[in-house]
Order: sequence, then C-alpha cells, then structure tokens
Amino acid sequence: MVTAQQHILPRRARQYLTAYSFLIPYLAFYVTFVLLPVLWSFYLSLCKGGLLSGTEFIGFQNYIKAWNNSLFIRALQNTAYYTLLVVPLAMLSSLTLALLIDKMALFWQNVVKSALFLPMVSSVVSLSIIWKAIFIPDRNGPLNTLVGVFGIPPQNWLGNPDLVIPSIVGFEIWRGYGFWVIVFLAGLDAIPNDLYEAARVDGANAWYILTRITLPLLRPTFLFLLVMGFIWNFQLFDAVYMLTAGGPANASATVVWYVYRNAFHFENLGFAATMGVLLLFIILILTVLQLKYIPSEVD
Amino acid sequence: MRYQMLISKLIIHIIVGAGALFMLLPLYWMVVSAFKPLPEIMTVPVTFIPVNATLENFRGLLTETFFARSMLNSTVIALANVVLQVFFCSLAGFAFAKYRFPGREVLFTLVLGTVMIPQYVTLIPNYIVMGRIGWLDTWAPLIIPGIANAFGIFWMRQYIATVPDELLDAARIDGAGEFGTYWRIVVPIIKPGLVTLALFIFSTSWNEFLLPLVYLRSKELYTVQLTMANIFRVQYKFNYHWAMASAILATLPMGILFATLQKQFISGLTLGGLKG
Repeated sequence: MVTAQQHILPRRARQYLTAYSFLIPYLAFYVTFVLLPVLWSFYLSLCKGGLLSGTEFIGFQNYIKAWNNSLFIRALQNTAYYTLLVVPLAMLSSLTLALLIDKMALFWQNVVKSALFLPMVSSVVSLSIIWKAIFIPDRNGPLNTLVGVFGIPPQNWLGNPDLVIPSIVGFEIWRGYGFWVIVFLAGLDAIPNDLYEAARVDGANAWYILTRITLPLLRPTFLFLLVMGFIWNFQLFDAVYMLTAGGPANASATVVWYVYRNAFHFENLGFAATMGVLLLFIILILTVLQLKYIPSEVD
Repeated sequence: MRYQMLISKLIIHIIVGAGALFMLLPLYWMVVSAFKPLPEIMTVPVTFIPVNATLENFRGLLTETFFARSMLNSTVIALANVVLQVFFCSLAGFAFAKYRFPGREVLFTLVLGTVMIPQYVTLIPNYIVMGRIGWLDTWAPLIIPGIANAFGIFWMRQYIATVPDELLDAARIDGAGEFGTYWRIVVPIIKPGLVTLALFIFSTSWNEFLLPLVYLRSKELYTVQLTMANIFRVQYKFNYHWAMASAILATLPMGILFATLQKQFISGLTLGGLKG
C-alpha cells in the first residue's frame, strides 16, 4: 500500500504541474489584461481625473453625476431605442427568409448564403462608407432616388434627428442579416425530420406545422439571438463614429460613443469608467432576466 | 394541386431572389462607385454603370495615401494575433480538456464568465497601463492583450475533448513527453479546429476599429480600417471616391479567405453561436 501511494502521488503532482505550466502563460495575460482591468474599472468609476491630471478618489459622485447628466440619459435612451428596433426587426425578417429558403434546394440556399456573406465578413468601416454614400441627402442620392420611385420626397436620412436612428438601424440589420439567417438555418436543421413527417401523416397543414412544431422547437435559437442581439447592440459604436459622429445634436449618440468621447477626448477617465460600469450592469441584468424568464426548454 | 405547388414555389424563389439582389445592391454600389470620378458619385442622378469609368481612384489611393502601407500593417498585426492566440489558447485548452487538477472548474468558469465583458470596460484601464509602459502609438496594445481570448479557450477545449485519450497515452508511453504529446499528437488532430479559430482571429483583428483608433497616432502605423476612416473624413470633406476604392481593397482579403475556407467558417459560426 505504502509503495503504491508513493508511486501515485508524485505522478499526480507531476500531472498538476504540467497542467498549470500549460495554463500559466494564458492566465498571466488573462489576469493582466482582463481580470485586473475589470476590477480597476470599478475602482476608476469612483475617481475623478484623467491620464495627465492623475486620478483622485471621490466615492459615488460620478454615479450621481451620471444620473443627473442629461447627455448620458439621452445616450441611454438612444441605445435602448436603437436595440429595441434592431432586435425584433432583424429577428422577424431573418426568420422569414430562413423559413423560405430552408425548403429550397441546396443550390438556391447557397446562392442566398453567398449574397449575405460579404457584408458579414466586411468591416463596419468599409460598409459605413458605402451607406454614407447611399444616405447622401441630395435629391439624386441613391436612397432618395429609390424612395422617390414610391413618391416619397427626398430625406436627410442622417441629418434629421427623427430619422437618424431608424437609418442606422437599417444599416445594422443589413450588416448583421447573414449571421441571423445562418443561425436560424442551423436551428431549423436541428429539428428532427420525423416530427414533420409524423405531423404530415396526421394530416397537419403548413400553418399548424409552423406554429406547433417549428417555432416552439426554435426556442433555444430565439433565446440565443435575443441575448446576443441585446449584448451587441447595446455596444453600438463603430457605425455611429463613421456615419454620424453622434449627431445631429446628439440624436444618435450611444452610451459607448459617449464613453469614448469622455475617455479619449475630454480626459474624463473616471466618469467614462462609471458610465461603462453602468452599461455593463444594465447588459448583465437584462441578460440574466432574459435567461431566467424566457423559456428555452422545448416542451 | 401540383400546378399550384409549382406556382407558389416559383413565387417564393422570385421573392427570395429579389431580396438577395436587394441585399447585394449596396455592394454593387460600392464597386461601381470605386470606378467613378468624385462628382459622379455625389451629385449626378444614380448611374448603375459608371459613365466615365476610371482607375484614377485606385491610383490616387495607392500613391497619395498611406493605404498600401496600412494593408501591410494590418496583415502583420493580424498574423501576430493568429499565431499567439492560437498557440496559447490551444495549449491552455489542452490543459482544461485533458488534465485533472485542483481549481480546474473554477478557472474555466472564471475565464468563460468574462467572454461577455465588453471591450470598452477593459479599454480604459488598459489604456492607462499602456501609457505608463510607453506602448501608446505602438502595435503592442493591438496584439498582446488579445492573447487573453476567452472564446478561444472555450473553442479549443471543446475541440480537444474529442481527441481520444488512448492516442495521448500511447504517445506518453512512447516517451513523447507532455509538451511533445501536445505538439506532435494533439495539434495535427485538431488542425481543422485551429484553422477555424485562426480564421476568426484574423478577421476580428483585420476589422477591429476601436483599438487602433484609441492607441495609434502615427499615420505610418495605422491599420487599414483606421486609414480608411481617416481617408473618408478628412476635415469633414468626404472623399467618397478614394473611400470606395479602399473599401473594395480592404474587403478583398477577407472575401478570398472566407470563400476558400467557407466550410470551416459556417461550422464555426453555427457551433460557436449555438453553444456559446
């Protein structure tokens, strides 16, 4: 017994040592550039000052300041408005397309996937350049020409405070469309075929199959896209930077845009960290609520 | 009945086809605009084929701006990201997948828990650190922090878990050593997983905008996205002609890369998407 123990222990210790030595390089970067910065961000949110002036601890004053800052509240409202438009619209339109092409021959599926594929791999910067040109407010601008066909007068798409967010929403839905469709197609793929066949044998019509089989079985996909859609869209920045720079008159300023401006233009690192932490908590709470109250189980 | 089915099928195909074409219209617009002189993009009624087709935009872009240099910069940065992240993530993923050690579950949960931490939360403290150690206006902040890629750990652990333990034991009995087992047995088996991860890291790095925007000052260090944004809005005068040409050239490498590796891309997207 004793000899067996002596033999096993060093071997196990050696295994631990090997595992840790494989992990430590990664963990060193993880602790330095993720874990500590997150904790430091919480601390910074309790400070005032910037890179040049140095920081000074001021307690919860930044949080009170954020609450009373009309620009931050505005940015929060813009972000929520924007997300609440993108997520349902993108979900509905991409689900429709996925349902339509799911029954098509593989060839046609691939044609559609290829059409959706380029926006998905392009950068926000390059796509914004295209759309900025499409949104040109001139009477001869591409989008104005298009809506002109339907008798709608030319619009200042990005310059009108009421239109700017819907315009960016259109851009973002177009940009992310391929991803949404492909995830829905994968979800549809995972539904066992015998379920459909059994329903057909029982004489179920297409509407019954859609509402009683397909949609309920897509629940996990819905939940995933809902959660991810909220997480991503709450962090909208690149498109705002490129298309509007927050304008006109902050009508399209999002929280991350305002964080960026405060941190890297106004030298308000502490206040920027506060807003960042607040947004992080909002995203976290929304995610937990969605995961808790929206059923993902298939019954 | 048959006839009706055929008609409805045809209608669906037409709707989907029209929709796909509509989705492609902006990209078509990019391509034709890149061959138009600036005034034609801006003011003339929409032309779907350039009236005065020209290569002048590309010539101007490549000779009068830092664009060509930026393409090279972005390639170097993206490759550095790929090599470092793939190596460190697969090594740590191997430890998580194939070794038992105290704290394994805790560490893995901790790492995965931060997958959702948005970039801008860590950016401000990291920016301060980079300032202190003199890494502002260098490529280091675009490469080094990225090694802590939580998704890469998750992805690699899932993939390496499928490698049969017998193969690893056989290698150990042959005296390969632990790192030798990883390098000579695990890495060749998980190559498809490595390629998928590499593809995602490359495209993330190539398309990244916020980090270079915050960290880089010198134009000769700019990444392709930063140069593009910079060309586009020089003092609020929009250079659509050069910008359109740069959008094509900047998207080209991604398009080629993803088209050649499409299978890995789709499998990664759906697997990473549905399980993440």
